[in-house]
Amino acid sequence: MSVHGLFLYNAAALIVIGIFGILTRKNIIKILLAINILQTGVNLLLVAVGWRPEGIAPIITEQTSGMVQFVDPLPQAMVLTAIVIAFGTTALGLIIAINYFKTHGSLETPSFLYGHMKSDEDEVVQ
Amino acid sequence: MIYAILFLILPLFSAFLAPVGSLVRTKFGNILNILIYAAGIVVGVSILREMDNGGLNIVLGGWRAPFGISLYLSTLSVGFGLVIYLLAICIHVSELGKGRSGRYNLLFSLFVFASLGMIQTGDLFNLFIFIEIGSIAVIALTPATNERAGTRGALKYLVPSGLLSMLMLASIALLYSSLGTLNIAHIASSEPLNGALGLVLGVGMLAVFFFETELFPFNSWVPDVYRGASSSFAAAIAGIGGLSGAVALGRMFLTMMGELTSFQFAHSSLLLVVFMVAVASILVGEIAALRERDLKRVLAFSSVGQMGIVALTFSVGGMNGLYAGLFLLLNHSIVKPMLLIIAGFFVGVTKKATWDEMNGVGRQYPLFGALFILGGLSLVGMPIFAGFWAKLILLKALFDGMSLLAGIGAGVVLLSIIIEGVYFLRIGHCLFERDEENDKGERPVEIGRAPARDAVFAFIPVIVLALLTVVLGLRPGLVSTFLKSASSDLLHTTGYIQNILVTLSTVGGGL
Repeated sequence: MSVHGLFLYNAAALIVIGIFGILTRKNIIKILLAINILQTGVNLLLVAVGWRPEGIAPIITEQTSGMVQFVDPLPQAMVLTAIVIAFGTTALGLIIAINYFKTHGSLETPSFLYGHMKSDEDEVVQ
Repeated sequence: MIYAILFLILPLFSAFLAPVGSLVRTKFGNILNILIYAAGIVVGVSILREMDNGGLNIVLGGWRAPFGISLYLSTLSVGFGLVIYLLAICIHVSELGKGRSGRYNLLFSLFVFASLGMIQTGDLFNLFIFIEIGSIAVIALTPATNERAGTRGALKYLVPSGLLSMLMLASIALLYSSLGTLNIAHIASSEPLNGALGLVLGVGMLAVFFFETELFPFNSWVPDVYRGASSSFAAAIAGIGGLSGAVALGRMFLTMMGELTSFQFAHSSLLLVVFMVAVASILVGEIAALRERDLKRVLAFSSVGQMGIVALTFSVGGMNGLYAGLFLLLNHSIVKPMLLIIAGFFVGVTKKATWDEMNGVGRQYPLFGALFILGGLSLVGMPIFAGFWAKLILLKALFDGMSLLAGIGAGVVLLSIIIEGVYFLRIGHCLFERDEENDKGERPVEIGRAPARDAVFAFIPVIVLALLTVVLGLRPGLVSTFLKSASSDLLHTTGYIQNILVTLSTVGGGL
């Protein structure tokens, strides 16, 4: 299998594992982990999309003239941005999960159900 | 017009200054936000005056489209941007007495910034970034007032948002690998995609907009976020978030995936997907609202239904239908924030969340009660309010459509009008009725007195928005030119491609 193929199959596997985890896990931390796996898979896909046969790293130096073939730099820039965003959302998600545990005493998704809390007077939000 | 970029980035100024200023005075951020948004309105109006028919391209970094990121300022994006700024001012006025922290104002400004960016950008990856910024702001602001109800709403938002935005990014990656571009106009003008690939990529990208626009399969967050967030921020999600999400959905589905674009072989299947999502949203939203007792959750489900009607106009009804849809979107963005601010005020004075426990509150606060009924009637589509014209034009366009889908759409819209009428009038009746005892022999709740200052701060935005819906109902001509130009901007892909890639004068550029 070529390196390119390896990247693509890995990306597909990680995406499928991530979606499976989000849909089946009941613990919020596990769901956040699954979202992270999904994000890694998508980032890998992006990098694979920019690959060119025989391409080298897209850095212009004195040795590389215009005749050298670079891999596509745009997906790499996108991956950098996507990683930062993924970090931000994960950190935020974990903070929300901590506060959720403090106020509900559980991290399991069945405690999401509205019916559990219906009679709670603390929940009236102006 | 060197200041055209200010129309987008003004909220960033208040976002960075608000936390610093709040160290000195608590209200600094709140007042600064109002001033900055007012400046945004001034900039927007001056852009609209100077703009010729086509619009204006702002190229960032000096790279012309399709190589760099371009922002497209047209009557659509500037006009709805002005509405966003106006709503943001109204919401901030209603928060004046609540002592919001600097961090709250920072995130709110980011939310406004992201919403403005979503309707202006002409680049797919840039759009993804704006969606993520908006999601982070929503997730962080939802638990700001009540941690218990808020975190539950925030988590319900976070999980699907993480899943769907990654699906969108994967679709963008595959689209980039097939077409080699990220510019929306350039994608639309590229070689046609294979039908199956177009359908998969199209659904992958549209799903996140269904989520943002509160449409059916992804609407589970809507009631919990509306209920858990403070009602002023719920008003922002309903008005600002719904507006920008729907405009971005229109830009993606109508402009980028239109009949004559690279998605031409997948267009008819994508149209069916949007149609089914819209019909399901209308039915699910309205029926759930009919059964709901919690006032803010009723308004949330009603939003799902209303946004369903807007999405319906994207799929059937043609030009006139789209015009009606944008009118409906405008009306919803004005009326729903107003209803949510009133609902928050009622919850504050009764300390109850359900509308059937709020009976008699309209007698104590007759103006608020009357304006709540007024807003409800405008959403239902009664004459003399803006909603009437929107639904009239929509039904006319659907009946003229002469197709099976248009017929089903017309039936569903008529059904939704009846259901909306039932629950809004029922709530309105309950607000004004006060028995000594109810059927179960319980006495009605005590209605507290709100401090005069709070009542005034809640009343000013409500009356402004109510006047707006009445004025638009009496003189729909005021916005008809704007909405017609906006709908042709969305529907005429060739004109959009011409404007972005060929003709338009560009401003901005690198340092």
